[in-house]
Amino acid sequence: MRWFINVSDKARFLFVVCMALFIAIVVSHVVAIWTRLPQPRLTCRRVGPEDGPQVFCLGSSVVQFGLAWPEISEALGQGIEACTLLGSSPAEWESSLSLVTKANPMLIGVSIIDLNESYLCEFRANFVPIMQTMRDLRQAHSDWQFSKRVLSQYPLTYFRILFPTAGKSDRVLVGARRKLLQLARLPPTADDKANFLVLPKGGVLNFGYSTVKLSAWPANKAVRRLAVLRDEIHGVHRFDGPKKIAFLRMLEHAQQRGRVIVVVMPVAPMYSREFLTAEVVASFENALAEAQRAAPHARFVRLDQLPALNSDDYYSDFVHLNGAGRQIVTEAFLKQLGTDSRLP
Amino acid sequence: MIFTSFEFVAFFATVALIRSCLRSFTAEKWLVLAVSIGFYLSWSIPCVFLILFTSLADYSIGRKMGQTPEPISRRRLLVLSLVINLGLLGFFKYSNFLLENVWFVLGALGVHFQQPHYNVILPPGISFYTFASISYVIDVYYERIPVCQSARDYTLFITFFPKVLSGPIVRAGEFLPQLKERARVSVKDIEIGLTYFLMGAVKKLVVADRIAGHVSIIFSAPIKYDGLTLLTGLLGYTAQIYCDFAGYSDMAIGCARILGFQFPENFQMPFSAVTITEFWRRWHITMSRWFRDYLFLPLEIATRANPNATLRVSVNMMVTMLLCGLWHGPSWNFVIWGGIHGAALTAHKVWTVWNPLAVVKNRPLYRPLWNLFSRLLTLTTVVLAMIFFRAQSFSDATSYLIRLMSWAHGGSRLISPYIVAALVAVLSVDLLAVKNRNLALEVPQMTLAPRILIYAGLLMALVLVGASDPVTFIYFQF
Repeated sequence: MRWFINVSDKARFLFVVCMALFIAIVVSHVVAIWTRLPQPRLTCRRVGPEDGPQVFCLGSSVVQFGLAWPEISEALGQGIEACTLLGSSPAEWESSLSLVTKANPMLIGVSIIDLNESYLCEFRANFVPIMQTMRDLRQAHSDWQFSKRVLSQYPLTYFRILFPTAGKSDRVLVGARRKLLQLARLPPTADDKANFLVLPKGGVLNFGYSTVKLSAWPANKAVRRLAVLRDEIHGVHRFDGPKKIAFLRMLEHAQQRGRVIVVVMPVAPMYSREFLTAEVVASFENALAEAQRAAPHARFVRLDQLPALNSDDYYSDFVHLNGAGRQIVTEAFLKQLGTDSRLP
Repeated sequence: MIFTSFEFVAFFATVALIRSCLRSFTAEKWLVLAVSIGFYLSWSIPCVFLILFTSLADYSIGRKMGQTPEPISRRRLLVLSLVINLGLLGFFKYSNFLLENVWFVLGALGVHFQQPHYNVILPPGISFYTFASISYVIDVYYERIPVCQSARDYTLFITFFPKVLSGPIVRAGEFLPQLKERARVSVKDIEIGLTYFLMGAVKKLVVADRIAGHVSIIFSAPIKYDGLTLLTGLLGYTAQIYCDFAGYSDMAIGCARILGFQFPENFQMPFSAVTITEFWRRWHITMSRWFRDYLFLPLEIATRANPNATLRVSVNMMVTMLLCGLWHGPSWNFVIWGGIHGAALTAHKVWTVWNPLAVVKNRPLYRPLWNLFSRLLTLTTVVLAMIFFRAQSFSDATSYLIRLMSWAHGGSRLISPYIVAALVAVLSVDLLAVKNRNLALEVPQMTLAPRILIYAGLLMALVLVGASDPVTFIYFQF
């Protein structure tokens, strides 16, 4: 290190900064790999016969976990393909429309959380071009605070090329805890089990049977998670921004390619009690009505209005159905398929 | 544009880069003034006229004062400045509070009117820049500092963007001389500035913002939680507000340093304080010395005829702290918070004069045990007073306090590991590190390896556990 004594202050400072950055970048990448942080990748899965016309499903995990796809495939006698992205919304699904070539019908699953503009998909900037976002924000007359929130995802995405863990501290901490428990050969905590949606290995559209019940959550856990969710959505439900515009645009495009079924998925009563005021529900209904007007040939299946699901026993968390809930929803869905002559 | 956002980092990097390219100090001052006004505009467009009015009014009053030798005219100018500054502060910050209280009193007297409520917007940073401006006029009045001869320099002093929103409350005597001659910004200055900024960002994003949500849950419905949860919530809030405001101050000091300006420290390991008096020498230093120099000492001078020094100091201290509480916001909760601190400071003063333990002072073990007890007492006072600082209303605060004091068993238990970790981090730094150390100044002087490791550690803390959705700084509301 003797050579370093003769180096100028500026060069020394630059060296220190570069080394510090290098170490932090390496550690960030290592931690991202070690904790298996979710990647901004569309995950495509399928089930059923591969020949003949396929049903293509677009939607977030709410619809993917919410329906029993093998049963639906069997009932329809058609294969089903589905592509999804963690926490995604119509803004991101729109980009996967290009993957659809010969789908008939196309099934789009939405829920109140998917269409809530305040709930942002963390990978939005990876899928939606910034110009598109700016156009949508302008068209929706979004306010500056909200626009800033959406647009700030773009620099964060570029920043994540260097530091993949940036802005994902919750996932890092949860992942690290899980890994440390594994290393210590301790069983995962009940909290971890409940939080973890087990995804099937490979591309099979079948998510097994979850027995976790939201009603069995400890009260403090529910309070904490509701507060976290409230923070995430800034306590706001609104359906008049870029998501709605993307949803309408997507419906119009989908309609040009064939038949479209829009499945409106339910959320847990606990979620409804906490967030869904009459005003929120009314504006959600307005958004759906507008979507119906934009795509008059699309069939809207309202699974969110099933009285049988009015219990937290049928949900594994605030928005995802568990095995029992999925059974009820799937039966209702198939019943509607069977009774409606317009459906396949 | 908050300091922890990407847009601020991009904005600041651009400003620093352009500034380094400028050869003329005059051009640099115009640049910094323009970007300061631009920064303020990003917070509020209409309020920029108010801050410019305050700047130009006090600049003109200062100039006039410098030209007027007669004490009476000078005094009138001082009163005019105080009326303008405190009038604006009072109108924008306290008008609705005042009306509410007047209507309450009228109601109690049996007079009932429809209470008016004005939608007065609170201009960002008004409490801070008003105090900075008042300090200038008072210092000019007492001829402690020369009159500022440049409207640009004075406006820059008031609007300088790193401090305009939440301080530190830099005095004219500290800032204006730095505008006389261009400071050479060395590589060391940039490194010190970056160290301050990084340390501030860690305090804010890794500690304050991480626990903000959990603290908010507990304070939003204290009735739902048991005593232990309420205690962790309260301790968590103390750690949160400290890291939030100290983090902001560090970032402000760092930004200023990179632009060639030096600010005074605003926090100096406050939880290491052994007494409440020492706590106030370490917590929000620029505000407490403002109250000391421009309120407490003038009160002392005005009441010097009172022969009972202890009583006089106690009353003046109480008045100062009550007004200090009110300065934080238009709510009786803040006044009570100030009152608790005023009472504690008074008690400490009386104890120091009385000194009942003088006889045992030289016994072995006395000093460490007494220090431990005194520290705990100080910490307990500060923490309990925070209930009134954080709670939304007086009834919320009392219900929190009652449940905590009665160690309520009913209710959920919600112990956040983040709060526990934050407490351990804050207390271990403040209690174990040597007092009066300034790590932001020490680290750049270290040898290569520890510097690299410390910077890498700070960066890693930010990118691994930094909060993903930055929360606005708490002190912005004041």
